Amino acid sequence: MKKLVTIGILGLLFVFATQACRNNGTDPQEPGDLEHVPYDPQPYTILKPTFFPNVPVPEDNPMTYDGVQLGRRLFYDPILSADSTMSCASCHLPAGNFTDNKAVSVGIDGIAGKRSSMALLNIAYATNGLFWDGRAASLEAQALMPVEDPVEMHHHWPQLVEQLKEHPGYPALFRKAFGIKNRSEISKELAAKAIAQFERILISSGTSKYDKFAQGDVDVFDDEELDGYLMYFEEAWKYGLNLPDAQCFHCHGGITLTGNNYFNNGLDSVGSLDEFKDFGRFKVTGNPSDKGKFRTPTLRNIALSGPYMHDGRFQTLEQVIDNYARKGFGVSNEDPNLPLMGLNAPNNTLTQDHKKAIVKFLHTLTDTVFINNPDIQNPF
Amino acid sequence: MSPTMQKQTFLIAFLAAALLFSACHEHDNDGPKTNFTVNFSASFSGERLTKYKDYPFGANQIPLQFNLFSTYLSDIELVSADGSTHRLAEVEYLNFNPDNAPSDLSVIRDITYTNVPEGDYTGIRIGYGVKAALNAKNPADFANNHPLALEGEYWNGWDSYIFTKVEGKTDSDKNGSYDIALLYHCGSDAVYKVYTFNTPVHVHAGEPALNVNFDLEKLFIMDDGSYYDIVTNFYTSNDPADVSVAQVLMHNFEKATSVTQ
Repeated sequence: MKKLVTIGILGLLFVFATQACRNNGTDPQEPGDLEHVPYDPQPYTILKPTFFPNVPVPEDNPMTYDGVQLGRRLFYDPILSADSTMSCASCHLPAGNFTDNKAVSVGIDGIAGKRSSMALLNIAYATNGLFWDGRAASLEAQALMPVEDPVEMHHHWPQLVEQLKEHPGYPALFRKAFGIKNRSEISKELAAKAIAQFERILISSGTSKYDKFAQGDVDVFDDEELDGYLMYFEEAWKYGLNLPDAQCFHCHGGITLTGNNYFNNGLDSVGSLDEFKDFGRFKVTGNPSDKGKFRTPTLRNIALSGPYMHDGRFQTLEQVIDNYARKGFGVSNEDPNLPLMGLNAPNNTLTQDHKKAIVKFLHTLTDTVFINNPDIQNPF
Repeated sequence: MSPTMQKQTFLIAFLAAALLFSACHEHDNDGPKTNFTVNFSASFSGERLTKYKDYPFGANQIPLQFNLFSTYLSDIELVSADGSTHRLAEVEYLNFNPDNAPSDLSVIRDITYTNVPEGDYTGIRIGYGVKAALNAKNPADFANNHPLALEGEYWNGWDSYIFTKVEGKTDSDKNGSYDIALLYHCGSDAVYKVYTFNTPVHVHAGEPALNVNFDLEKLFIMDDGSYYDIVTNFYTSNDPADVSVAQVLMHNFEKATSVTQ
């Protein structure tokens, strides 16, 4: 009899315990299984220099503290790739200005892509398409693509979403970020929104030598850096100096030093536009004149972002400037600024000293405070 | 002057000022209002502008191509017979480049303005460029979707927006090779222009849109009918003290603009 009572009590305890667990929402089969996790969205204020414009944020993806934290984890988590070896950060590392410092990136199957990874610094301001060809209209749209790209992460979103649902930590993080009540609501769209939120905080610190100069500390540059600056921005007249125009700022202008546009910047001598190895922007617009055009990257932190160009063909900034100093090849859709490179120089051609000064100026765009910002490092 | 005369003079001056103010004030009637569309377009010699297309230019018919045309307009106002005005827009940015289009045909910008007082206006007034009050600001001063928030349209060197950009190239010796790049970026308060076009503008429900066209060939035709020497003057100076080339283009905008309804 005593034995029966004991068994009965134990049985009741088990039932209570099970029920208690269910009430805590840990059974993924139950509707509202995440409701026990607090949802208290706190707006995230993006830190930016005062002289930077406000960061564009889409209405359907407001920045929250938990959204950014979820995005940061997803960005650095190799769970996004089919064999869990590769994360977004594999090709976008902070130390490389969120590039991988390789000519072209290699995916999980060892297949090399055809383009170099793009820097993500100030990517929130890119409002005219993402990727070298602009095929993604928004950060949210962009974040969806590498996961299923066979030469990148080669995963499948439905499987990845299942992994996230079954993960011991992610469901609660999705709840905190987006207020979902059940892990079944986790979707690729929410994952992409979170990653986009994290990417929107990748903003310059405003502490580069160039920023200090632009904000009025005119003594921060040495003479060579100043010459480079004046040629880059074509402001030699301000100082009564006789320096040529390097035409840089026409395409790499504005606060982020990119015009967010697409150009044939005179890399290849082709007989016709059909001879370009990579058609670039044409694949998006279908306009034959866009063959061989690519998006201008930001030049902020450019010294940390090599190799250069969409295919990583140049290892150094010196090679880049040498190439521009050739003024293109006269291909029909080349940017008209190219032939004017070196205007007002002897023979309208940049000298070695001019080129050296421009490269030295480009080094003043380095922002080490940004790449060392603890808020953007790997959280794992 | 006696105290009485002083009072009379003051009264007359006050009434004159009031009249003047009344004549210049913003047209703001309580009558019916409607939506009104303006189609902004670009052309060359009457033909819709096409990027990279060869256009014969000047007395020698040298080949000329364009790859970019964009412009800011300020204080676009409808003008009434009594001199009062209704402002359609404080500033517009018009980029005619078909950047995301499958062809090189220039973009037509249809902009619909709301709550426009119905009426028969005598013309339209347009400021070419960015008016001084706004040009004193910079892109960081504006919300992201504002036309003046465009980073690439501002040049710190001038402390000015780039009012208009015309870029292209020409085959100056007609040997089949484009040898001269054309780069006209006009900016700074000194080249801001305001032109009034005395074309009747009927704003009533059901009326057709107003067409405002900019003909790039006429942008390079001088007042005496001669063609501008684009081979010699192939770019605008960076020195704001030398705006001679920019002045030519901004001056010629009046002739290059046609307004029809």
